[in-house]
Amino acid sequence: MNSVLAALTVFLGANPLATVVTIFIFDIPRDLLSLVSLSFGRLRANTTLPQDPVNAAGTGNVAVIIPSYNDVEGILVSLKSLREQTQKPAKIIVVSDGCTDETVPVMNNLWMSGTIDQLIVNDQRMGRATCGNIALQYVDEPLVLFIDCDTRLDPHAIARLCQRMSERPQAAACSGNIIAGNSNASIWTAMQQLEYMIAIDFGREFADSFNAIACCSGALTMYRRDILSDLGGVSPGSGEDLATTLRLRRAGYEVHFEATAWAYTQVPETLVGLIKQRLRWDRDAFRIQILQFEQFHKQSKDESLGNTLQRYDYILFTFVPTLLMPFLLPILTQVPSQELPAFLVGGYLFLLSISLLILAPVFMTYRGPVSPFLLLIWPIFPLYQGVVMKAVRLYAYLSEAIWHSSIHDGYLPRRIRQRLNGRH
Amino acid sequence: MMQAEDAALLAKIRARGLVQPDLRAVASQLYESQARADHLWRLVDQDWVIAEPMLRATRCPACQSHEMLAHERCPNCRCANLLTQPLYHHIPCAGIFEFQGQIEDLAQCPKCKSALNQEQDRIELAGQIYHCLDCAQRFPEPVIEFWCLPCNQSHRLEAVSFHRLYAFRLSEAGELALRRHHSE
Repeated sequence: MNSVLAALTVFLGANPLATVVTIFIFDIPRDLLSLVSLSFGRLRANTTLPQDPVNAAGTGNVAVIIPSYNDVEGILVSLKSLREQTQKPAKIIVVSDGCTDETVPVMNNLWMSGTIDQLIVNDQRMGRATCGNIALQYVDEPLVLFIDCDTRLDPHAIARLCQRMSERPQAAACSGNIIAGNSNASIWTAMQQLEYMIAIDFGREFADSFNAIACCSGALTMYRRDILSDLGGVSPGSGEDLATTLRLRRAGYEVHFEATAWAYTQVPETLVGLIKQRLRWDRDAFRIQILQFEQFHKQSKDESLGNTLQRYDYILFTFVPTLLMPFLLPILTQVPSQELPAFLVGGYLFLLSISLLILAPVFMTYRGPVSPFLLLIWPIFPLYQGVVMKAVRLYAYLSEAIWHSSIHDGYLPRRIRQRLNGRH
Repeated sequence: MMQAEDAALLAKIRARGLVQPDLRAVASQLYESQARADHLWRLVDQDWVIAEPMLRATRCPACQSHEMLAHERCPNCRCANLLTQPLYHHIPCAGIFEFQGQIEDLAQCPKCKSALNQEQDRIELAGQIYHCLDCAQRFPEPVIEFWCLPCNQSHRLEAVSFHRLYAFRLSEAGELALRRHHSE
């Protein structure tokens, strides 16, 4: 006990600047906000959510669009969950985006048997955004739900999203809550589930309280079809969910988050897969938030509080702390070398205690399933979130700013990437 | 020992080179009366004739004919009053729009309004959209049905069956057996 206290004392007393920067860099302010969000979010959930959301917004008003690329098993899982919805969709559209596996014959059978309503087959791959916009041509229903081809919906998901959209007539979009469906597969999937619990379940619900949602996830988002169509549909390129959400916000519409509309997605199981995914996400976020939408600037004279908060959420709690990370090294060098091990141990113990403070209420009040595995791995969560993922994000920013690395991203077919970037 | 009727059929096959099914006939009478299908297959069992798959054809569930015409219908109202329009994709904005005519004639993208004169290589065909002129539905694929010409009825794809149809030709063993039969 004495050695723990001694290590903490070294960390907190060695260099006050290092302590402050560490706290900032390691997302502690944001996570504390998540704690605050507990009370806001859960209170709201108890007071405004319907007891029985079944058919709350009426039947026959939702079309579902599932773009897919070589994941026939994933689509079958998604379709099964759609059949089990308490509010059945009026139309299910599957888009095969240049699939080379068994997607087309399998989906063709399902189309002929009436399990899906429309099958669109792109002979060559066009990318997720274009798939969505092609499918949008066939939607007459007032609401359209986009899901990933491996998304498995909770039976009440559509009903709850519909309910929320009917309660918020100004809303152009509403995204749902995401769970890592394979959270017990590896330590990396468990880490991602912990992230989702904090950042999505609590973080987005908190942001939603201020109408400050920045991104409606591509895995589960419901749009008003007329608004989306009038704005030209989904934004081009990768990161289309973020860009589309920001376009809707800039056009003056509200976007929301419904915490009780659950969807399970498959997350990367290996560190390599995870890093690849995060590099893409972070490059897209940097390109869209900073370069394309210039979130540093006020959008208009009468910018809403929600839009201001949404801009500063990314800049203050994601962008700036990541850029500050390299400055931690010179600060660390100022710590006397004999005290450095104790400083590092003390720093990690400090982060652990903060993490425990944050995660304990999260574990207690999280509305989704919590496996014992998550409880076992929480001590390494600060290292994962604060060091590994932050380093990945920093590299993503630098690679995008210097080399424009996203033009090599395989998320889009090469033909589309080249033309989007003017290289052809 | 070759039967006389086998020899007659083999001679006929040799004379024709290839015996093909008559697609206008009903399934039980696909080949000429002298060349019933069961007889041909018996010769195949004796290695005197080789069967070659020719096509996999639809068969009418009502009259067993293979003389069927594929045609498109609206999946909603089943009418045949359909119109197709090409769908174009403007890559820079992911815009999808219908346009009838030469795409070079389109001055600007209907979605992002950017000038397209210098951007023809950034527009590509994304498929085609069907419009039903009766019920106003739009859809990416029509329903395919089959019109049976002999019985004048339309059948849904799931109602018709598909069968492999064969052509038959003489094998070397058949040629030898036929010569032997004639010399005896």
